[in-house]
Amino acid sequence: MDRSVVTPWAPVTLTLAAVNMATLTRLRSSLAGNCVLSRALGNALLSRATPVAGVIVPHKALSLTPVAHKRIYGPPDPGMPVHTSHWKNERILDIFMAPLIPATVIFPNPVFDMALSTLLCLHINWGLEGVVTDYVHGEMLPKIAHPAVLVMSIAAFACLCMFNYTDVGVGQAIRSLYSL
Amino acid sequence: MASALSLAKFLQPNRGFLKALQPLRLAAAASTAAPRMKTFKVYRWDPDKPGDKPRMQDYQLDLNHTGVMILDALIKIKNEIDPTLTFRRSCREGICGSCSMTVDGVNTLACLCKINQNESQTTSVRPLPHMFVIKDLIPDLNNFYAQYRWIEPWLKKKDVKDAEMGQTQFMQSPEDRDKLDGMYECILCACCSTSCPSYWWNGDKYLGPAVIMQAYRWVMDSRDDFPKERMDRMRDKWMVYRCHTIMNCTKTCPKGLNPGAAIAELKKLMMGYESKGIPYQ
Repeated sequence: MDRSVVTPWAPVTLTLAAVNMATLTRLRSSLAGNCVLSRALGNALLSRATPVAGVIVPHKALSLTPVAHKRIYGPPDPGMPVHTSHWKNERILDIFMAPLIPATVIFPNPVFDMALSTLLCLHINWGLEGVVTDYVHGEMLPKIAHPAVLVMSIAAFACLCMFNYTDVGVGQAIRSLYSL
Repeated sequence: MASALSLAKFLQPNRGFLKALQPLRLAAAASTAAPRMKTFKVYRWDPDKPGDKPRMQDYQLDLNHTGVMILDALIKIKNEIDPTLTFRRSCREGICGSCSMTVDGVNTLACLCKINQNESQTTSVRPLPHMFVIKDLIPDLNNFYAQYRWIEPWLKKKDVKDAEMGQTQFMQSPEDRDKLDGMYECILCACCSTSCPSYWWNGDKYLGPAVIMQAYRWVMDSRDDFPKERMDRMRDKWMVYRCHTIMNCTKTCPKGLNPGAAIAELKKLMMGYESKGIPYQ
């Protein structure tokens, strides 16, 4: 099909589009600089959006944009560690724990007991860390809650270690729950 | 061929006759059927009335004279009972994503949600949950749109100058195009993001399922030259990893998409595994 064939009303549409664009440009320029009232209105409209929106909206979305190397949206501190490896570690831990739990119950022995105690405490610590990150908001509360989780996890691990060394061990304890 | 056409013409119903009949049939149906009144509880809040508190307002509609979808009921209420009822709607066929709201506790598009024809049960209609309400059923989506802008949902090329844009076509193989299936269909109605508890509690920092799915869509686009940079921006604790695979997003999506799978695939990619798009599309 020949692309140069145009419909008879194409020039009209084009003219209309050009007029529309001109109106838009005039409106935008009046918003940008000329009228104090409309500028105030524009600012009020912008302030309804999130504070970052005005900064991050590029003016020409269709043209090429430079790669943003630094963070412009998200948590306030730029030194936040990369979370990908943590997420991966959580999955690896889960893979090891899945067979270890039944193995410890079926064949209770000191090696399995200690391994399960360690992995369990790590798993619970990371889980509670996630809960605190999700639900504890504000300036001060997270600064208290995060160390509190760590202290609790260390205390739990110490107790389990003591139980493993001085008593029957985790695996045997779970077995005896069923023999009650 | 010609005989088949003439046969089809002979068999097709007479449009003029049907059109003449239609008002008669409608009138007959309306006069004989007993009214089936159903109560719709609609969330109302007017910001212009000082001190106004949000409330649920009851509206009675006769199901015999109401369309099939929730949006039909809302338009009927606005036209005939209460013109102050405010809601967004545009295409009325599930392609614009304007009329997303919570019907009977489930985020959906009002135009794709059928009215429960049991008139003894009331139907509740609320704005999207955990969003700031502008008026009645209209939530404030500015944060959602700002997040969408943040993932830069457009093609980014290396070594192509502004002046060269539009001169040549960026070609894509059909196999690469297939990887975008299940993502390009998203209409950004925000049903999934607002159904996600993680997004409720951390919507300021967590991108939410809809936006992450679009981020993944642009990472997967073979024509885009910055997949690594796109992912590097999302590697922190908040952007993607607040997703705990709750899967409310996939359950509620009115378009039947699977944002949960998209997030899982993106996590896979970010861990260094390859991703071939959302499976089973």
